[in-house]
This record gives sequence, structure tokens and C-alpha cells, in this order.
Amino acid sequence: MKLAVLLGLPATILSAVYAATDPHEYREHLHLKPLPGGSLYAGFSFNATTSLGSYDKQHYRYFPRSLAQILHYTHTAELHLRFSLGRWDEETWGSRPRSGLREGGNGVELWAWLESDAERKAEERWSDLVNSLSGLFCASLNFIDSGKTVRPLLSFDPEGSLREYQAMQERVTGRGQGELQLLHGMLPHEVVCTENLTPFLKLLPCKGKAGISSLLDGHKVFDSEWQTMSVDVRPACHASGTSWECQLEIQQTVDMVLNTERSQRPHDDPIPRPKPIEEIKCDASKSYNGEDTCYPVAFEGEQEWTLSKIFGRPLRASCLASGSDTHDVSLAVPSERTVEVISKSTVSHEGDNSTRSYYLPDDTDFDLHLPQQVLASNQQESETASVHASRQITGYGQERGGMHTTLHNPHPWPQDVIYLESLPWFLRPYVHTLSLSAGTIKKTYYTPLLDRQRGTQLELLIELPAESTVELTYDFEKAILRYSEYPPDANRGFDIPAAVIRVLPGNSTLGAPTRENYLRTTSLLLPLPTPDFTKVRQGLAGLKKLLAKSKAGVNAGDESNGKTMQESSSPVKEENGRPKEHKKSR
Amino acid sequence: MEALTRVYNDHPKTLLFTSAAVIRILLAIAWPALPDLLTSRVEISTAVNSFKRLQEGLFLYDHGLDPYDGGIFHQAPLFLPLFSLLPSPQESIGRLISVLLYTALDLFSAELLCQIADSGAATQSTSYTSPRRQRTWRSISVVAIYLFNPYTLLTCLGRPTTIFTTFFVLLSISHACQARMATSAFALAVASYISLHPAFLLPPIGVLCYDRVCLQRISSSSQNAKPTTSKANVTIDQHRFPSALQFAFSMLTTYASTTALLLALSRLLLPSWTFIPSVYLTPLQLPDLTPNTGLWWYFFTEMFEPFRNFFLGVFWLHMFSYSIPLSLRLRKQPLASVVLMWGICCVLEPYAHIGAVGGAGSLLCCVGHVFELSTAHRYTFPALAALLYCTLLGPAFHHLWIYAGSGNANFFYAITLVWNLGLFILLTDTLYAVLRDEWECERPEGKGKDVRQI
Repeated sequence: MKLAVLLGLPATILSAVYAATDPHEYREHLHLKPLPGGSLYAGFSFNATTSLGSYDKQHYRYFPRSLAQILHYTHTAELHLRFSLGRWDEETWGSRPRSGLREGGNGVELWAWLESDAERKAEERWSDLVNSLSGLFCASLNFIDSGKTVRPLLSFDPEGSLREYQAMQERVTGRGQGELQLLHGMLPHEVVCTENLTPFLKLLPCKGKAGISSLLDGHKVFDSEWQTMSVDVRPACHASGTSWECQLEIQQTVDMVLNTERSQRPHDDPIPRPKPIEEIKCDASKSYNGEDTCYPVAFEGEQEWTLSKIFGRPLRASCLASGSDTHDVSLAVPSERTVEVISKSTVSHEGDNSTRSYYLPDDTDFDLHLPQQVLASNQQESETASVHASRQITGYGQERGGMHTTLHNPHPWPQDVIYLESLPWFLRPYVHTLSLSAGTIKKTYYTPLLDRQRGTQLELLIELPAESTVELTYDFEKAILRYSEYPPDANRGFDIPAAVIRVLPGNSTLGAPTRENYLRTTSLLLPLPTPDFTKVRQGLAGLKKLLAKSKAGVNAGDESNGKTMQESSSPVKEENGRPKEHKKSR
Repeated sequence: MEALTRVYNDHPKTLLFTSAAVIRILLAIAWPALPDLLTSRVEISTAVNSFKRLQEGLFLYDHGLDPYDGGIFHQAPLFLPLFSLLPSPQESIGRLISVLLYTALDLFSAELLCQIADSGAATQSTSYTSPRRQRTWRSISVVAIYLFNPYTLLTCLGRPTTIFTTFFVLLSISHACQARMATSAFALAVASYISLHPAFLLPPIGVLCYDRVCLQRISSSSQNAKPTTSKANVTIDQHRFPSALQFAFSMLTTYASTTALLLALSRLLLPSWTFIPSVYLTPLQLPDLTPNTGLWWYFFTEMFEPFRNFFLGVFWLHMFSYSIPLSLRLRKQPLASVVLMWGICCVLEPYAHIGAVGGAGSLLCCVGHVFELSTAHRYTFPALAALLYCTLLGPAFHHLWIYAGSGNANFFYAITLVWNLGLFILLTDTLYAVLRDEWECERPEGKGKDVRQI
């Protein structure tokens, strides 16, 4: 074995040198797009790759070592981690960025494919994974226990080429790793904040000091209207001749929607105040318009914004000194919109119809300024979302309720969606009451809850008819927990994770998109009945007294007869002549 | 009206049964939402008997899933094939059919109660004949109490599966009264297969059945010898009685083999043995703490984790601790021991509900001949008043806690404490009366005197 390694060494070195530039790759990209309603979408993405060989030898360049070691240890083949806040407003902003593939439910969401030959082993590795990630990202991921873990069958497909990856791993390590198992967990109660962003940035090669990541400041990121951070690791294999060549790719994204007006407020005076009346444009057509009375004219056209003002920081020079061959920043605005590029260095400006792209300079800051402008053409039409979904809890009181989900298909073609619900065990759904107002349920996968051990997993394949609204309802009951199972703020309620909705690619002849996309409903708050936390001992003392009384009562019923008997026993004894009976009854 | 009186005088039972059935069916027809409303009440439906949970189990069973691989359905497996024959009770016709089934069950139970009351087992045993045997309640009154008390009536519309338990317990008692050991043990096995705790009735029912068998021997031999006075009982040769050990053994064997048969049948219906922990560990371990009228839920909500298993054991042992002592102490009045033990089970069972109280309360009337003693010397009126008070205030306090949010868990818990206290007082008073009756027989000079504990 050793000899083989020694003989193979020169070849390995050669191939390593040869492929040195190829497998270790790093790219980053920022996409900016003004949205209707005075918002700005900013999508950051950071991609790094490493070859499988270097991964197995634990040799990393751009790929974050801390994460790679966790993945290596827990035999994770593919990992998806999401931190999300807020709600994407589909009606105003249109379809979701990245087809919803890089989004999670409110709070934290994690799913991964783990290699293991036994169910038990997979659970152990999953537990290792969530605990390690919990430490790495300063999030309470370790609370994803068996009660919050589900194993979806339809909702998620691996993004990477897992089969080839496994075959490669098997060849390298010489033994099979067993089957790949998908585990999924959600933490809706987790509040995403700066302490999660800092470790996220630490995974990047420039660690937020240069390149587009220099824009990411916790104050602004978590002040946004909608925000999601994701980490995705997947193997990517390409056929090269007869064998496969595998790489491990990591993609980190930060997507957010910022309110341009609010974000540009100065740091030292963040409180919004009305402008002095002289600065406001008044609607003179109003009858009451005068010196001291003003009806402001509705805002027209495009808002003015500057990149560095919105993010509160300038965009530093490119992350990689050599520069990259792809564009670092792209801006999606109509071609007639004026864009001032503020940069000492030359930047390429590629003007196609609706997107402009820029390279970051190597040594100086970069900034964009868009002045206020009224465009001749109408605002760009935002693309309609594939499906609208909302979910509510119906009913009142803390005993029972109903879940009511509305799925709206705005398109003139039918769509297939997969609806995944993972519910905590203290919400007891009645599946026999599940009903759909229109459309059909083609497939149902249901794993019932087990008290304190397993949550409910409900996966439905639903066909939504064209241009229709489908209502999905079922009843549930709320459990009462043990007093120690309540969180400190028991009366706040419990968070129910978001439902994951996967819209399957449709029939392209009808004009349906051929790409699948995801969306998630908002998470819900479930109030549960609470016991009294203050008078525990007194309450129990009352019960104990009652039980003692009952026992004493039964004894007394017996004894009082016996005692009286004893009192009057002597004359009776003689008369009756059955002392034996009397003794027995005592 | 006259015709009605005549019918009542001629066929009182027919009239009672018909009117009971008509009331139940009319209620279900006049207010179609009433059965489902009652099904959702915590006082009627618990985790182990709820009709809605049965529907959930049926749904899973019909779709080929294991209904016991989950935390919702914990009822006996043989209900599944039975109820899957009925149409879905979510539609009005199915609901009516289910109400009809439960009405029929109630009527059968009433008939069994009638047989128990008629058998005379309450006042006469091999070694004892009550001096108050003339005061025995008419069987028709016992039946009326069962059929028309609001607890039974509401429970019938709420359709919990524990009505089957009540039915099989009554069946077992009535067969024991008729000295049919095998069928009695069989019915008791079915009852404990459904609800577990009727197993504690095995000692008292065994004693009752043995006593009735002996009494049968006596009467058959005394018919041969033609002496009709009660003194003949004393002179009976005890060697004619069947051996107690042998009797106990055969009863236990019948009981165990029936249980084994039922479990095996259940296994045939289901893909795995998971139903055993799901059905029988649920009452034993109390994973579901949904409030009910019993004493357990609050206690185990507030229980410190390390003591949980200890107190689960203590509570079950406490319930069991009445079984054998009662049947020994009341061996002269074995029916009284059965009645009292069943009452104690209904109060102390982990998932208590008012349906069991309705059944046990009516059964208590079978020993109605001693009630004059408890009403004269004990606290029957305050206890009955407390029960009425709880019946009215219980739902109100539950509403205050769960819906209005203006009360907390202690409100409902306090009312269940009072409710159970009232039931306990009734039971201990009856026990007192039964024992006093026995004592007065031995000491006739003590009749009517006050008893003081010294």
C-alpha cells in the first residue's frame, strides 16, 4: 500500500501542479436591481471550488477549511443552510430571485445528504453536523433534534452529482459509504442577526475586507425588508474521458431587499423627520394649498441612490489581486437610466438592453450613483410569480384550530406543486379532515407524529388548475406540555415552521417555465394552553390531600364499623357466640 | 296520557327503552352539530377514547398505513375493522348511523344492568342475606337512572369508544351474577383489552362469580331437600362447593387465553406489534396531558422529571390497591365490591371522563337497598350537590382557561378536584352503608344508633 503511494507520488504532484489553477476557483458577483416601490434588490454570491482530491487530503485554498472539516467528519455529501428574515412581497416585487432556490423559511433551515449505511448512523452524523454548524455559525442549530428533523421524499432533489461523487469516494477510500440520506430541519424561532453574518463572512477568502463582501455590514443587512443568507455545498462531476472528475463547490449567497430611502438616512441622524415646507413639492391644484398648507405631490420617476450610501460603506477594490475574468457587479436598470460610475480605475461597462456589468478595480474603491430621473418608458414590468401561497391558523382558543393554506396559480396553465409541511409534535393534525377546495392531490406522504420524539411530516403533490385558487385545510389539536417543556415566555406561543412549496417545471408547449422554483410560506405562531407555573406545589398538595382522604375514607368506612363493634363487643359476643367472625372483620 | 300510563304500567321497560332511543336519535337529528360538538368536549373525549381520533386511525388504516405508528390513535385495534364497515361519520347519514350504533349499545348496557339488578346478587350471597332486601331498587329504576342521566346521554352522542368498555364490564358482571364463569371472564378480558384498567375488576368479579356458583349449588341441593328457610344455608356441606383454587385457575386461564386471542387477532389485522405500546403504554405512561375530568393530567404536567416514573407507578398501584382488599373485606357482598371497585376505577383512571361516571353511578344503584344508611348518616346530599355544581361550573371554567384567557389551568383543575372529591364521598358513603348493613345484621341492637370513631 505504502509503495503504491510512494510510486504514485510524483504523478500526484505533477497532476496537482498541472491542475493547480483549475480546481481552486473563486468567483464573486453582486447583482443590483431596483424594485417597484422604492426598494433595491441586492444579491451577493460567492463561489469557490476545490477538487475532490484536495478535499480528501484536506488541502484547501478558497474553500473554507472550517466548514470542509465538518463536512468531511460528518460524511456530508451535499449541504444547504439558510438564514432568513422577513417576507418577499411577491405582489409588488414579482418573482423570487434565483427562483427561490437560495431561500429558506423564516429563521434557520438546514438540509443535507449524508452518507451512511444505517438509519441510526445517519441520525448520529446529522446530530454531529447540526452541533458543529451550530458552533460555526453561532446559531442554535443544535436544537434541531429528532423532533424537528424530517426526511422529505419529493420536495428536494440533490443539486450536485451525488452518484458520481459517491463512486469517486468509493474508489478513493476503497469502501462503500452506504446510502445517501436526506435530512431536513427547520428552526423558525431563531432570530438571524449580526452574530450569524460575521462567521458567514469569515468563510470567504477576503473575509469582508475587500471585494463585494466589503459592502456587507450587519446594520444594513438586518435592517432590510427581506433578507436571506445561504451556504450550499455540492459535488460537481464532469466526465473526462472514461473517468469522472469531481469538484466540491461552495456557493454562499446573501440576498436582500433594501428600502432605498431608509437605508440612505445618515448614520448620525437616523430618525425620519418631515422636510421643511420649502423643500416639499406641493400640489397647487388643491383648494387648500397655501403658504402654510401643502399637499405633497406623489413621487414620480426613479429614486436617487448611491451604492456606498445605501450600504453605509464604500465598495473596496477587487478581492483577488489578479482580478477575475467575469463581471463582479451587474446592475439591472433600463438603458435610458443614467448611471454614474465613480471609480479612479477603469471599469468596463457593458451596456446591453437592461443589464450593465462592471469589473471591480484592483486597487481603488468603486461606487455607483443613480440620480433622480423620470423615465419616458413605463416602469419595467415585474415578472409574475409562478404560485402565490399563504398560510394561516384558523379558529380561536387554545384547544384546537385549523390550518388554512391558499395556493394561487395566476398562470393560464396547470401547475404541479409539492407541498411540504413539517410540524412539531405538540400540534396534532387530523389528516382525515384534510381537504382541497379544487385541484387534485396526486400523491400523499405522511409520517405521523410521536409524542416528544418525532414531528409530523406531510408531503403532498398537488395539481393546481390554471388560473385558480386552491384552499388546503385540515384540523388540528393543541397538546398541553409538561411544565418543563415550555420556554420561559410560554404565553408568547410556539413557532410553526414555514411550509416549503416546490413548483415543478411545467409543460413547455403551454408556455410554462421549464425550471422548477421554490417558495415558502411565512412561519406561524401557535398559542398553546399553559399550566400555572407559580402554584405548582400548592396544586399538587391539594391532589395529594384528596387521594389521602379517599384512602382514609375507605379505611374509615371499614374501621368505624369495626371500632363500634369493639365497643359493644362483650355482650354481643356472648349472645351471638361467634367471636371468630368478629376478629376476622377487624 | 291515560294510554301512556297504561303502557307504562304494563310494559315499563319497553317504554323506557323506546323513549331513551327516541331522545338520543331526536337530539342527533334536531341538532346535527351536537354529536360533533360533544365529541370535541374534554369531559367526554380523551386521548384514549375520542371518536375523532378513531376517525384518524380509521383513515390511516384504510390507506394501508399503520395507525399505531403515531401519537394520535391509541384505541384497541379491533375497533378498526368494526368502524370501517360504517359509512364516514363526517356526512349526516354516517353520523346518524354512528349515533344509532351507540344508542343500541346503551340499550344493551341498560338491559344488562336490569339483569344485574334482577339477579338479587346485591342482597344475597352464600353467607349473607341483607335485612334490607325488601328495599332493593326496582330494576326499572336502575335502568332509568342509566338511560336518562345526562352523563350517559351526552356520552352516547359524543361516541367515545369507552362506552364499549362499560358495556363489556356490565356484561361480565351480569354473567358473573348468573354464575357463568367462562363468559364473564371473556367479557372482562374484552373490556380490559379495550381499556386496561378493567383488569383490576378481576378479583372482585372472580369472588362474585364464585359466590354465585356456590349459591347455585346450594339452591339446587336445597330444592332437592326442600328446606326453604335461610338457616339451611348454614347447614350446607361446604364440600359440595367447587374448589376455590381450581375456580380461580380456570377463570384466570379463560381470561388470559381470551386476552391472548384478542391480541393475536389484532396482530393479524395490523402490520406490526406497535399497537401494544401505543394502546397500553399510553394509559401507563400518560404521554398525552390533554385536560380531562381525572386527577392525573395536572399532576403529571407539573411533575418534576426525575419523579415522573415513580409517581406513575404510585398512581397505578394506588388504583390497584383497592382491588383485592375490597373483594376480601366485602366477600359477603361480592356485588358491592365489584360496584365500588368499578367506581374507584372510574375516578382514578388516567384518562377519566364523565361517561364512565354515568355507568358507574347507575351500577351503584344496584346496591340501592343500603342508600338509606348513607343518606341518614353520611354526606350524600353535599356530595350530590358538589357533583351538580361541578357539572355546571366545569365547562365554564374550562372556557375561562382555554378560550377567554381570563382564568388559568388551576380553575379547571380545582373543579375536577371537587368533582372527584364528590365522587369519592359517594363511594366511601356507599362502602360505609354496605358495611353497616352487614354489621347491623350481626348486631341488631345497634340499628339506628350513631357510630362514632373512637
